[in-house]
Amino acid sequence: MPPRLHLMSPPLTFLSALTSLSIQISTLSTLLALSDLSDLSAHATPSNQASQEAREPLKAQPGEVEGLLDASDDINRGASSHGRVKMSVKTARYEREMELELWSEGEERSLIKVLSPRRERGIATLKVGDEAWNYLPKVARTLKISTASMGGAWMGSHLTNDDLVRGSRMREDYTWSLYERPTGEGEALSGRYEIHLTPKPNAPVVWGLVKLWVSAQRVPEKIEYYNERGALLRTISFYDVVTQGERIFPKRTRVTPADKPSEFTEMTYVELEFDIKLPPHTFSLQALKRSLR
Amino acid sequence: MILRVAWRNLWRRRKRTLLTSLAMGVGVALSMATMSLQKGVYLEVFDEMVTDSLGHVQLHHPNYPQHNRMHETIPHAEALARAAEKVKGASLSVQRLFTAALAGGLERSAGALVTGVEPEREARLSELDREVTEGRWLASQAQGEAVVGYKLAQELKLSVGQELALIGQDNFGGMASELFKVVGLVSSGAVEMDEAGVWVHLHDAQALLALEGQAHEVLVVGRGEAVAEDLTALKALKAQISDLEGGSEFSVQGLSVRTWREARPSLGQMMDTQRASSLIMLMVVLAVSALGVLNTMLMAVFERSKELGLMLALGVSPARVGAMVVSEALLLASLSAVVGGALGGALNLYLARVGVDFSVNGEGLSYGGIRLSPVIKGVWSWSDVGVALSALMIVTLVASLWPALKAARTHPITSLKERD
Repeated sequence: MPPRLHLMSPPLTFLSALTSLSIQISTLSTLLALSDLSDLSAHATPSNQASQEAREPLKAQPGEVEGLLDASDDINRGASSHGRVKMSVKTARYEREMELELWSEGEERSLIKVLSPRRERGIATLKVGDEAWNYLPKVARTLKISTASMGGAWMGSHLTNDDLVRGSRMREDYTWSLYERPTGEGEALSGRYEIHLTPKPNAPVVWGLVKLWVSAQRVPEKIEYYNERGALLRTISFYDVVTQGERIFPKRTRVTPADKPSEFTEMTYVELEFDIKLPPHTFSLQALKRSLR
Repeated sequence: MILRVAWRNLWRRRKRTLLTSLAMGVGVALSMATMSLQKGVYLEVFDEMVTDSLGHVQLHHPNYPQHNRMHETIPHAEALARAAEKVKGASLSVQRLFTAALAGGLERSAGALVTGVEPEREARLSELDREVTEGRWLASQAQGEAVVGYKLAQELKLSVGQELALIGQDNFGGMASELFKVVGLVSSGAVEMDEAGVWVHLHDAQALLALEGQAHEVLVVGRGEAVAEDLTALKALKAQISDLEGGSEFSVQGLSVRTWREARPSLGQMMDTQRASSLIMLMVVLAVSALGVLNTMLMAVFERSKELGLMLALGVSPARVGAMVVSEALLLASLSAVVGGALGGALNLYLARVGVDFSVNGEGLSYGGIRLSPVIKGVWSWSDVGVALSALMIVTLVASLWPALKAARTHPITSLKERD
């Protein structure tokens, strides 16, 4: 079994549902173990955090960091949302692109449907609470995702099922220290926040250390994930910050495994609407099977 | 002249001669039968294991034999396989594509090993079509058909005509899923095939895995028994395949090309050991024969020392006396050869025609996990008969040298002085 990598609720809203799309077949777990992400921690390169030791954390105002963590967790996620994402995966062997349609409601419910490529069109994943199901239209079957396949890579990407299903919140699972904050006032505000997070003793996360950078506009810029020995495992970067109504969010997110710097998985929002009214039963097994228009 | 004397001498002790030749003859006959059966087992194993599943020469992506990773394929496998079929000494070449998948019936699912095959060629190679116990083998066109191991079908509660869902991972790590129509059930005797085997058309498998035009394995089979028996023929076939020039169509460069012995050295050794054991058996029989000859001829020389002395005294040269003893031994051997040849020949004919039923409770022999046919037939081989008989002659010749020398050295006067 590959190590279980808990991405602590990256602000990749909808991705929490992408999760489940991987196969949950126990007989396939060995097959899944061969996936790219599985040996990520084993081959992680030594960290570049040497300069970290000497730094003293800043004194944070009450609620200052908590607010930033929540803002990061919720960056692409309103009370509800609906959108389309282009996902491209680049590995040493291939490059491929997928288009996905996503619905979400809070942290607990999400639904993903594959729009393209053709051979995978209609494959769908539903997440409700801690449970998740895949639907395979070609064979008209719904498969519940087992815990055994949670560590598997999702659709050949650099994300695991577990990354996506877990609806955890940073402020609940980690203790933090603030190392940097923007300087200046109003228009002249510049620089960024740098927050280091270490998991609380019983938190269900595999990382030893997480570093988070948030812009002065309270939009996450980068998250780095380290193991217990301080070796960088992977990096998630956020690009193309756009304003839509009252919301500011990054349209593009890239996951790069530390041991394979030339590989990445990138997700770009093509469309995204927040806080909309979703029809009832959007997150049901019936909706999972409903064919695409 | 010498021969006539030798012949006459032979029959002076009729019982002893008959007994000796019968003993030697039976020994030879038995070793002939053993060799024949051994060859039968060898060819059966070779046919079941080597030809069917290993091929005589096999091609892979260099990492595939070790890692078995899905993307480690042979590109342009079709062109390669068709070219490999045409080289001298080759008779057939097949492509295969493998994957593990979840096989689902209506209610249940189970793990399966899916093999994408070229139906017609695969049938010629592994004769899987003959092991279809219900329904039929795959059609030659790719049309979404599957043949399933009968135990797997039982587990999935699937019968011919129903739909089988295969769910797995494709070449990009995405989910591969497709429905297949079950057209036949296979009972091959190999447990893993019956319990987990699913066969589909190569093109269907390629589409399922997003591996169009590719195969994990190309097997080349040589002509007849030449490759089974003869290492040089096998190596020649491999060299021919390795040297194939595909131009822009395909390339053998960068692929792993191995003979079945290189692919499965332990099997080769096992089969060599089996062969060697039949040779050892022959040698034991020959050693016993040699002792028989030695005993008989020494006795004869002792018995006749007076007579031999007389012959020498009358001017017969020692060389001729020796030659006489040798001829007598060879005549004895010939007699044994006739007895042994007749007995062994009859036995071998029986073995080749009828065979031996090795079945235990109706189950055939198992050899390295492969079920052999319950009745093993011997193989009639003139060369084996020749080897056995000529080995008998040579051993007799050697064994008779000592008695002959003794006879030639008989001192006429001393021996004549002896009292009867």
